[in-house]
Amino acid sequence: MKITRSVIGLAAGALLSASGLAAHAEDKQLYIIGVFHADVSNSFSSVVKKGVEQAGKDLNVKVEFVGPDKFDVVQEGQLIEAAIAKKPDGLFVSLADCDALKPMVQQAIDAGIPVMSFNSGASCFKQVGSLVHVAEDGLEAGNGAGERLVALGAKNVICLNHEVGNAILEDRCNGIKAAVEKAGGKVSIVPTSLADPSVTKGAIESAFLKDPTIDAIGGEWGGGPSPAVIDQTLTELNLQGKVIVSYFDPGLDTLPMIKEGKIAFETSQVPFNQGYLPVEFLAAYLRYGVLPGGPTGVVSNGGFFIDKTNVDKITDLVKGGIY
Amino acid sequence: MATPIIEARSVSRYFGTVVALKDISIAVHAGEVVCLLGDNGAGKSTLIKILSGLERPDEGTLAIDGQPVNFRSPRDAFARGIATVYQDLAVLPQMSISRNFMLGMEPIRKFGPFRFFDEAKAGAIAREELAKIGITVNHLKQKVGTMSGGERQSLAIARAEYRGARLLILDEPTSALGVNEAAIVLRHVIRARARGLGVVFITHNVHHALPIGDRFVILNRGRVAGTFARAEMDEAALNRHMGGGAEFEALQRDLVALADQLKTGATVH
Amino acid sequence: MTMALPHSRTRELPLGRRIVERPEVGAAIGVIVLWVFFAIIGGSDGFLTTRGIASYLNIAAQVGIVGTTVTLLLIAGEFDLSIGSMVGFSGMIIALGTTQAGMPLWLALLCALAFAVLYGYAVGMLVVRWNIPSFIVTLAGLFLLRGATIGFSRSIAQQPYIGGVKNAIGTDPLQYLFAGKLWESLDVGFLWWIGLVIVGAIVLTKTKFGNWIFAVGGSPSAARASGIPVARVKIILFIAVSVSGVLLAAIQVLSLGSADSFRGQGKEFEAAITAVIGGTSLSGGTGSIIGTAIGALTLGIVRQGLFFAGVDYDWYQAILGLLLLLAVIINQFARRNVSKS
Repeated sequence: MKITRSVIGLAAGALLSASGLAAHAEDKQLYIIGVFHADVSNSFSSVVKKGVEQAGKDLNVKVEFVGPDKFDVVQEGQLIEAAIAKKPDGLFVSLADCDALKPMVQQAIDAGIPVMSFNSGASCFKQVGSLVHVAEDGLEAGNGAGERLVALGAKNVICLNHEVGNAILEDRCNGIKAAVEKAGGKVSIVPTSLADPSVTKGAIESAFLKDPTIDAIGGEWGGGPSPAVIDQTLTELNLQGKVIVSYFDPGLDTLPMIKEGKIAFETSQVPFNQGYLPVEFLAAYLRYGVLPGGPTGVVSNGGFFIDKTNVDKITDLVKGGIY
Repeated sequence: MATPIIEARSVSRYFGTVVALKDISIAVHAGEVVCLLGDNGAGKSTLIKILSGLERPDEGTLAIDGQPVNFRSPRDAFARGIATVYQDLAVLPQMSISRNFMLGMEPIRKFGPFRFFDEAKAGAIAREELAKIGITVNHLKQKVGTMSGGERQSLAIARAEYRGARLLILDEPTSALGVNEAAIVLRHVIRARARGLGVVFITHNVHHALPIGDRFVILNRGRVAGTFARAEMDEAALNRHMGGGAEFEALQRDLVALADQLKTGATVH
Repeated sequence: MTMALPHSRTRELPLGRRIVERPEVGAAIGVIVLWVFFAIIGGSDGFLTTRGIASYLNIAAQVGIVGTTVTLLLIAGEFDLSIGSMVGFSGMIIALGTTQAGMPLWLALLCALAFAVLYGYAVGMLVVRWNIPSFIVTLAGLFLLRGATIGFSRSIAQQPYIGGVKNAIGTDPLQYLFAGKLWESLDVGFLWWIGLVIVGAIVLTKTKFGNWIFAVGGSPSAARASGIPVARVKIILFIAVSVSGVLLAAIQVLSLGSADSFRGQGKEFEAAITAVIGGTSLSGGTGSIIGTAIGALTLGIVRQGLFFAGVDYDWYQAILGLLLLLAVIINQFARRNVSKS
């Protein structure tokens, strides 16, 4: 027995050395840094951060998850450069602007640090040099939400966007637009504001004033401050129940509204996974040399619907910070 | 008498319905100190703004060396040798003495195609000019803010003179100063006169005007209340004219009466 | 020549006092303390590596480029709140010009430059001729330019994000004037910054124009009375600030290859903060270009130092606010000794 085991061990060791991996690779603690394009303490990114930290605990990885103090691609690039100086084993970044971040990612690769991407950058992560992309495909998710809105009877949809210029948000609205227009409906895009609820309120009021035939709302971030404003505005306009409301990425405020029937459904990009999976994939790559995602390199992680059927379970998860 | 350096002929100035100046005539000759006296609101500052080119008269004319002129700006006036030193705006406390002195006429040192401020030359000029008026400066990089009020005024006057002024208009140069500080400035005014400059000295302090003035022009409510030569003036007379004479005496009586009332505990309305 | 008269009261201050009264000194001490602090707690994590040093020099360079001209403007007693929006807008001009209008790079840069000169001139005219406070004029500019950035990009390219600048300009050698690395990961922008600081410092302290800048800010009426063309000085400085915004935009757009409607946001305050940390007074009349450079370095070191130290970014703004307050208090003390008027 004893002999056999050691023989197997030797053989396995030889195999591992031959394949370029150190023995007991799993024992060595890895160091992985994630860089986001906005602040990492909002209700969305803090869940991503939770996923990063959980993965670090589960997989014996020292993790860090950082971002600028507000949406700022220039600063994100500067943070990536600084992260390289910390000499991590692996790096994962949200590619909010591929053109802008490509040189920094290239620097990391040149420094021998493997890079994966998450959240934003589905269309361009390959050119940038990211090995795997974990994210919702905005167009796909938008398309799914649009089809569902059509199925619920929507013909004239306003798609709200609180971060004009952010590719994934634009994609979602474009996805909704494609699906609704395919069914013969109409979609107009309305910019809102995270910082100033009065802007959001005014935008919606004037949209309905201009076009009373609007029968559905899509696009907006459910975990942000807008749903409460939208809810109040719809009540004031006496449109509650007459307009189909749907959001992306739920927050604790909106889940009860699903139960009440004020919100038809929400589409989640499962932020916890966006933090957890890149760490897991990087660790697996660093330790065993394996990559998920197949030839496309995309690990699709969105388009998950939350409605009356599963809202209770999701609520519990959100309360635990895991959603 | 010779032609005056500057002469205002029947000058008037109105601000809407307010008559700031009415029919003012005044002349200043080389080597003469004319004191412009008057209470607040008498029209002193409007008159010096006109003399220095900052404002234009609505009626009447200005003449330089007997030639009628029409100043468009202080630069214009300055080009004709009229320099005004304002009470509070004379110098920049945060800047060094030499830079203050040469402000607006900085000496230039060329270095290839570049033109630099010639600090050494500026310092030498400032030192020499200040020495002429009796201020020894050891440290020209010292900020003007560290000089005394009298020295600052003197610096401003010396600068105006260096810039080629033939007539100095000094706006309340002594009013914010203590006795000793004021004395420094007054000494410089006398020296300037000795060098042949004309001086318009604006003040409401009779003690400062009396020892240096050759002539006294008293303004009251925008009009000339009186023009007096040195010989016809003493302090009491000047005071009487300045405050509006009778008015001032009436005010004095009122104040004495009020004090008496308060002493006796009578009701004050 | 030197007549020792009893009433001469200027005296030479002791060397120590003269050093302490220099506006840059407090800032320089501060930045050294901060650097040592972060070197101790973040040194082993890369703060001291060439890449780490480059990372905060790059940040200092970007804010320092606009900080330098903003300092000159502040010394002249005026304010520009629109510089951040100017960075965004001129960046959009360059990106739209090269990708959508098919302009060669030099032409797109020239367009942005021409716009900046016109804009700076217009702001200057409104301020000096119409006597509208620069705070108000440039506050309007902040919104106007930011809105125009979004509006133009959306109506021309259907989105407020323009990528593909690098493809559009191809191998145009002009881009290497603004983008690329000097050495390891140090950006070319660093050289621009150093160059601007040197030129700015020389202009301010060694030329006639610099003397005028101080005078215009210290007392416009005294300056005017001394025959200084106050209006011209201010207009030139407004133009200089706008042009420095174009420079920063060119550096950002050409090194990142894209422009979006958020670029430059908040730079107006960062620029002012670097100036104030460096001892420049918001009320005009005093200030130092070297001080601002130290202020920019402070910003870079704090921003990246926090990252290397593993501190949450949430605290960045709070620390910046604290530093600003500290700098102002120190400057106030120093100034009290200089000016009694």
